[in-house]
Amino acid sequence: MPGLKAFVAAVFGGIGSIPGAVIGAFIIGISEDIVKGLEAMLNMVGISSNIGLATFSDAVTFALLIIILVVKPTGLFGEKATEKV
Amino acid sequence: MKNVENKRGVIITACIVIFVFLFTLIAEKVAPPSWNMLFMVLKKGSIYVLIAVSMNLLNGFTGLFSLGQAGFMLLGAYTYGIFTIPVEDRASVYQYFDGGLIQFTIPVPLALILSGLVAAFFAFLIGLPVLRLKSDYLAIATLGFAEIIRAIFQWQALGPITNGSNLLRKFPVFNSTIAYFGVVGICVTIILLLINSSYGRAFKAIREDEVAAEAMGINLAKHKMLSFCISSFFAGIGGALLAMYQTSVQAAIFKSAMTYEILLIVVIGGIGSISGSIIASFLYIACSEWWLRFLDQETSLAGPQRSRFIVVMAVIFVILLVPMIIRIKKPKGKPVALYGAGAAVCGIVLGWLVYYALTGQTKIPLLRNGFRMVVFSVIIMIIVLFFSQGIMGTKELPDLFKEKKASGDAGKEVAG
Repeated sequence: MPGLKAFVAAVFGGIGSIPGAVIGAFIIGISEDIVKGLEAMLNMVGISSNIGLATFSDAVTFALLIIILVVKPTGLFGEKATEKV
Repeated sequence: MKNVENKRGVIITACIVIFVFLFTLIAEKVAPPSWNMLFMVLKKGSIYVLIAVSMNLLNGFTGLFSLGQAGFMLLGAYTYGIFTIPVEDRASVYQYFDGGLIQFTIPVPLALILSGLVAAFFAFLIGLPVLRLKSDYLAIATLGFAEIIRAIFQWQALGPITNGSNLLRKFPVFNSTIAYFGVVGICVTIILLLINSSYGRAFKAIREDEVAAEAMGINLAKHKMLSFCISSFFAGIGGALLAMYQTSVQAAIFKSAMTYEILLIVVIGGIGSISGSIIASFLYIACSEWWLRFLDQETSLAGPQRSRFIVVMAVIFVILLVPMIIRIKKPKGKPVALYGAGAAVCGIVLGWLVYYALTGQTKIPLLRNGFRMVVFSVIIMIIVLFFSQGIMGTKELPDLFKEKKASGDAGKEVAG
């Protein structure tokens, strides 16, 4: 599972770009932990919520991947390789 | 059957299939309880046949490498479970959610079809953004969707419908093997008919070369979506059958490891061969559940024949070891690795004999709980390394029974 998330982070940042991989990994990792702690944060601020958002921590990684694959398939910093027919 | 060129092969295959059905039908009535393991393997094997054939349709015939089968199986299993639990049992199953939201039941055949339709509907929604991606990205995206679906079904807020992370149980199940065989047989027949139709030829064209297929007028998006939805329909029905086999449904079982098992079965059987998936599925389930069980028990050689047995084994393996080492230096036709492996095995057995001679312990080492999985993994690695086309390659079972023509006829056909 951690290996799979590493691949997701690399694709998110853009295959073929090292700075992209670093930034992608940071974004994916931090988003996952934000989702884990989202309810506690909301409770601290004053909005009480008890819907159990922590189960979606894995899901948010893949949701971010799918969003980036739909909007920008080459990743955040990737370069587009032209396809030869 | 006028246009079928391989009539003999098709008839022989049909006879084999009918024989297998009749055998299970009769054997289940008369068999002693010690045959229970065989029927368990047949039931679970037939469920995996359906799912492997659906994945082969998507992966082997259309060329779309998708890893989302576990998610669609999960959808099918939950749909079947939710809609068929009898109303009087709902309060005890949904005990933390006040009896649950849905308070009616659907008859079993209808629930099976509904589970397939729900899986196909979600496949349609998933396929809209995802099917335009290339092979690796499609695999990761579908894997991601399977994980998202699993997380949604474990969510406590959806508890009144799905029972959160607790089990769904007490729904009606099929008890006899022939019922599983019947459902799986109908589904595999439908897939066979689909592959031998014009849609099937379009799928194979997309697999070979997408650009050429599009140039010939095949609507890529429509055919890819059709293949994806039909494959998920049958994966959903397979998930419902798996729920019946295990008599309980829980989201935590349908991890990506299950998808990798199905992918393994498809690869071992041969990508693009339905009969290969069927044979490989039964072999995989038999090996992992039944045939290798003896490796998990600690055994020791005991009794009066012990010393004779040891001496005979020592002599045999020394005799085998010497030519192996000679052949490594001068291999004759077979690859060197084969002789290397043979020498290694002889060396290991001789090493154990020396250990026995020195200490007098007769327990065969390594045979303890879990060794079965090591041997199983080694067998799979050998198959994938040396038989990379799979058991059947791209051939189907009727092709094995083709009539052999004399070579003179072929020459006359070409000339005339």
